[in-house]
Amino acid sequence: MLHTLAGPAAGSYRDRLREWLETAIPLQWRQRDEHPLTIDAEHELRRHWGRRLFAAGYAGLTWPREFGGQGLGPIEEFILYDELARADAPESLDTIGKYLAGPAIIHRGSDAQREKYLRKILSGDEIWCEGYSEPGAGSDLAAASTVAKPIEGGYRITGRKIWTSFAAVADRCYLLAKTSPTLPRRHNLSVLLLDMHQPSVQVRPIKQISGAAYFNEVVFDGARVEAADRLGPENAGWELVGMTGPFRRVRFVRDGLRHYSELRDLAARFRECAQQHCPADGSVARADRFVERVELYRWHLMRLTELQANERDWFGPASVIRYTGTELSQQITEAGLALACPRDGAYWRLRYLDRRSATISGGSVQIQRNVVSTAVLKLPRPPRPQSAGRPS
Amino acid sequence: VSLVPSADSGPVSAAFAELLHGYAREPIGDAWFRPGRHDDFARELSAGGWLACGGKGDGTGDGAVGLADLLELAELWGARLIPLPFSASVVLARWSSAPDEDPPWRTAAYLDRDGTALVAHPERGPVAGLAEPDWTPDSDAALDRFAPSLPLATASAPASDAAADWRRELTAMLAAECVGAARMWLTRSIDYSRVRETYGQPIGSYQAIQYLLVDLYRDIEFAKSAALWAGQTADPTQSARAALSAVRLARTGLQAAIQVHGGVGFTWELGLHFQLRHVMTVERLLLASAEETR
Repeated sequence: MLHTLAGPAAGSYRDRLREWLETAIPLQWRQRDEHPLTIDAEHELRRHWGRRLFAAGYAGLTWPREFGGQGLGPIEEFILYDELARADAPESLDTIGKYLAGPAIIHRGSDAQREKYLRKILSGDEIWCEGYSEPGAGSDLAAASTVAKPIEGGYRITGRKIWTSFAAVADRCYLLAKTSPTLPRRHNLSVLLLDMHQPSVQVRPIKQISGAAYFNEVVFDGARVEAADRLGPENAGWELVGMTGPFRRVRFVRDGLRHYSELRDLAARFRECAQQHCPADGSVARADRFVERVELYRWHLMRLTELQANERDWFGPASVIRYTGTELSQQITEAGLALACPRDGAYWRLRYLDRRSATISGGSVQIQRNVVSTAVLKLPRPPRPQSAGRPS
Repeated sequence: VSLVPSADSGPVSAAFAELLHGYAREPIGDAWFRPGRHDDFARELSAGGWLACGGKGDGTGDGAVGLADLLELAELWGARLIPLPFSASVVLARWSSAPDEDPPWRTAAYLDRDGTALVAHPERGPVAGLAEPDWTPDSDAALDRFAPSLPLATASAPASDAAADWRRELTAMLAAECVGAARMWLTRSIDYSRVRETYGQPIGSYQAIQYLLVDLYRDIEFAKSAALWAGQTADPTQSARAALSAVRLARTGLQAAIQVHGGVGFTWELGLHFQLRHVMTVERLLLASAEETR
C-alpha cells in the first residue's frame, strides 16, 4: 500500500489539524499587522508556539515514539507544514533542535544525553543554533578553525562562528570544532553540545543589506563544554555533520514548504501589481509564468515527499529543488523591481535586497550544483587551476 | 492516486524497457520512420498485452497498473520514439467501453490544434464509447510529419462522458514521453561529455558544462513531477498547465543537450532533432489544449 498525500489517512490527518488550527493561533499573532510586535515579543510568542505544538502532539512528527516523537512519516510532516503555512501560523524556533541536534542525539548520543536534551527540544523549552560556518569556512566546513582545547573534565572553546541563525535566542549550540591540532582534515573535528548561556559566548547580530539581521556572529572566548557534552567519539565529528544528511530529508520537506509559501506570496504580489497597477507590456503574462513555476515547485515537493514516504530513491530529484526555489525567488523580486510599481515600489526594493542572500546562505547555488554534478551525475572533478599566473 | 509508481511497477517497467531495447537497437534515422516499418512490432505489443496493461481507468481489470506506472512506460517510449500511438492506445483502452478482448491498437487520440481531435484509424473505425468521429485526414498542420515519431491524424468529436479522463491521462502520457525523450539525451550528453575532450580535458570536467547538465537533469526531474501531477489532479485547467510545463521543461532540456554536444548537436545525423521535434509538436498540441481549458 502506497503512502500518498491524496490518501484517506492523509485526508483525515489534515482535517483534524485544520480544525485544531482554527482556534490555536494566538490572537497577538493574528493581529500583528495592526499591533506590530517587538522583536522580543515575537521571539517569546514563537517560543510559546513551539510549546503549544508539542502539547497538541504536533512536535517531533517523524521522531520515534520511544524518544517522545509521533512515529509518523513525511506525508504527515508535509501536511503539518502545509497547513501551518495556510493558517499563517507563527514559525517556531525549533528547526535546529528538531531537525539536526535531536536526530543526531537519538542516533549517536549517550543515554544521559538523550535524557538531558530530547524532551526539552521537543517541548520547545530549549532552542538550538547550529555552529558550523566560520569566516574562513563557509561551504568548506572541514576548514573550521574554532578550537576546542581539552582541559580538565571538558573543553575550552576559542573561535568565531558566523551566519548562525537563532543564536540570539538559542540555549544550546550544536558546535563543530577542531579537537586535534595534528590530525588531518575531517579527522580533527568533534561535535560539542555547548551551553550558550556563558559570559564567554557573545552573540552579535549581522546587519544585512536590507537592514534586517536574520543571522549572527558568535564569538567563543574561552567558553566551556563538559566532556559529557561531546557527541560521539572525539575527532569523529565529521561523521556527525555528514550523518545529519539523512535527517535533513525531513527538514527539506519543511524548508521546501517554507520556501513554497514565500514563493507563492511573491508571485501573488507580483501578479497583483501587474494586473492592477503596472500592466506594462507582458507583465501579466510574466506573472502567470511565475505562478506556474511556483506551482511546479510544489508538485515537485509533493512527489519528493511521496518518494520519501515510500522509501524510494529521492536523493537525486531532491538535490535540485533548493537552488531552483531560491533562484526563482530572486527572479520574481527582480521582475517586481522592474515593474516600478507606484504602490509597491518600497516592497519590491526591500524584497529584492533581502533575497540576495537566498542563493548564498545554507550552501550557495554553485556549491549545490557541484553536489548534483559529482554526487548525482557522477561527472568528472573539475581540473585543478594551473599554477601558471601565480606570483612566484 | 499517487505521485510515485506502485511497488509492482519496477518489474513491469524493466520488462518493457527490455522489450524496447531489444527492438530498437539501431540509432534512430530517417529509415526508422518508414511507413509500415513497425507493423510487426505493433502486433507484438498487442499480443504481449502491453496495450491493455493499464486495465480500466476505474481500477478494474486483471493485472492493471496505475497511471503513475503507465507514465513510467510512456517515459521509456519517449526515449525510443517508435512511431506508433502507444500512449493513446493504452489510455483509450482504459476508458473505452469496447469489449476487452480487442485492444484498440491503431486507434489513436491526440489533441489537435483546436484541442478537440481524436484520431481513429480508418480501418478500425471509432472507438466505442466515443462519438463517431468526423474523419478529416491531413487536415492539420500537425500532420506535416514535422515530428515523424508522432503519428498524428485528426478528427473532431464531441466530448463523451469519459473524455475528460482520457484527455487528462493522455496529456500526462504525452508529457511523460517528452520527459523520456529528454532523459535519453541527458544520458547521451553525459556520456559524450566524458569522452569529448577540449584543451586536454573531458568537457564534462568543466563546470560550465557541468552546470548545463545539472540544470538539464533538474528540468527533467521537475518535468516528471509535473507530468505526474497532470495525470493526478482532477482540475482540468491545472492538468493541462502541468502537462505543458513538463513538455516545455523537456524542450529546454533538449536545448541544453544540443549545447553540450557542440557543433554535432545541430546536425541531422546526430538524431537529437527527432526527440526535439516530438517534444515541439506535443508542446503545440498541449498549448492548444491548455488554452481551451483555461
